Amino acid sequence: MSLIARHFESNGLPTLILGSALDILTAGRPPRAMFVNYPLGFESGRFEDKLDQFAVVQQALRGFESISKPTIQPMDFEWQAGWDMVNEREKNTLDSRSERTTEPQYQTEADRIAAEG
Amino acid sequence: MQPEPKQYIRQTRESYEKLGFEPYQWFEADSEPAFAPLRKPLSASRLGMISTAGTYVPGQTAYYYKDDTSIRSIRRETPTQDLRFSHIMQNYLQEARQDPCTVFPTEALTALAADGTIGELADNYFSCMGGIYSKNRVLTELIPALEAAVEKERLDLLLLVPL
Repeated sequence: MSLIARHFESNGLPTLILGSALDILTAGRPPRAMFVNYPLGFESGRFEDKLDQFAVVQQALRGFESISKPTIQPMDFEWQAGWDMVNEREKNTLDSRSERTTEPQYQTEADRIAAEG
Repeated sequence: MQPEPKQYIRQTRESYEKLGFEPYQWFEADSEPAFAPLRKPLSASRLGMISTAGTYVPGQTAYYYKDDTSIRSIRRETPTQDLRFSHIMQNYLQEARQDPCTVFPTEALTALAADGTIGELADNYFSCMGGIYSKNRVLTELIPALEAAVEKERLDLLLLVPL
């Protein structure tokens, strides 16, 4: 995503990444990023918690005006229960990628029928 | 809280080494990024969004997992329950498939435009599938497609939400 951000920024369009993988963000050196220390998959807030999602996105967007030079700004959200849930799920997993195929991977069979008939 | 930020690069490198896979290469920048100043405040700006979570809607072709460099256009008014995901790291999307706003914050953006925090929103958001192994294909296929799509939205600001 940093590669995309850097490209648009060099075209003159201000960008801001809302991300939750600090090491990946740091390697990519994006123009503006807000770091939320939630597990991957919850970059824009806790699930089924609209107040948290609103607060995360609201605080993140402030970065457009508060960041005046390339910066990755940590935000002050915490979610231990989310980390516990994800750590438990991943504790016996070495490789969590899906198989790399060139077949479209629909979320549901109904989606496949809707797209392909 | 999680005491320290999780080290995804190190963890992935170590597990792939154990499995005998080639290491996955995240993008590593070797220079300072360009930095474009804001032309207007957020409250007067038109904001768009790109998600790399493989977001699609019913009727569209889903993403495939081997270096899919295509993009999808997602209308802003799309009901949240119509947002779908296909991404090579779909294990991170179990909850997002119940509540898509954990990675695709359409409801929060709509609320922030309604209360005046954001001037206005794009008519269309965009998605792609983040797990592309070839930097060259990101540069020559994905980014030009995103650039052409974003240009039509006449944006002042662009929010990027990676998976």
